[in-house]
Amino acid sequence: MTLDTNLTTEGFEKLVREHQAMVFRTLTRLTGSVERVDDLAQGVFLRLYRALPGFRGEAQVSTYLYRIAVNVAQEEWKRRRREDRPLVSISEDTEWPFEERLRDPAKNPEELLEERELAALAEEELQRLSDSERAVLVLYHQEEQSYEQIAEALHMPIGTVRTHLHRGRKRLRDGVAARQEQTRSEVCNR
Amino acid sequence: MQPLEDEPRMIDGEAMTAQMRKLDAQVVEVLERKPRVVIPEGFAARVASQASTLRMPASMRATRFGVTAVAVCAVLSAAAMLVLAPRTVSHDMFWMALQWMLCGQFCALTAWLALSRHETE
Repeated sequence: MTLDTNLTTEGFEKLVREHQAMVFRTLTRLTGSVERVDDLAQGVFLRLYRALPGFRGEAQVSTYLYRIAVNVAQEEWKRRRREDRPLVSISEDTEWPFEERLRDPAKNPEELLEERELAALAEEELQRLSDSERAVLVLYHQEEQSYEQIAEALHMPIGTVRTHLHRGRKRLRDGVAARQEQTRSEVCNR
Repeated sequence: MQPLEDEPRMIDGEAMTAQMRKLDAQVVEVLERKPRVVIPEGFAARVASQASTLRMPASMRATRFGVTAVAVCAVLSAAAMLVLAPRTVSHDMFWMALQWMLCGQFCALTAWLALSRHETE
């Protein structure tokens, strides 16, 4: 969908309705929290509205929205660091328990538990990555964007996108492996 | 699982063991799982009504006004050069200096216009 810079209120409402799930999903993953996602998403759409006169007609709405969402998520991280506030991580979200997210009838309880722990560790380690690595990983894997689309959304050369993707995946995997090892050694020492 | 477009067998020069490959696949599986989101009822209508009350930033209008003013000045400079051209035939120092000044001004204005257009594209 391309962007019409002369949107009416009804037209803008339709645009918000079409893209709201994507913006909420991206913000939730990028900030690692369900806290304030409503306010942040609102901020994303209002920024899009303000920027409409400067946009070129042929541009994809989703590209602009991803770019704004990534910027808003980074600002939210800075705000949290300033206020030094603990956050409700996705893995602790009681409205969306992991049991529900990982429910798979083909798996036994032990496998489900292992999967649940791994998912929680991966979510935590994702929040330890740099802003750019996290944004690239989320856009590539969760949002299924191509290298070219990510490069356009984040204003990065394609080579940098590739580097962030490979390095981010490696750091994430190594982080999860280290945490698993630490947990195992703690259990053995007890 | 969405594979990387150029999935390497080596990462940063380090060969991946089978165990690491398994862990990598599991991590990717977690990343590909979309978080469930709860969108408040009437969110789109609320945002659209807030947006309609917003006024466009003044800086945006000022920038456009500035571009128009520069374009008008460039046209005026060019016109002045044409009008003064016959007076430079006698190589009078005053008219020559004025003509060169207008020429420099015209070049600076057109260069500014070209650069500002390039930046907004």
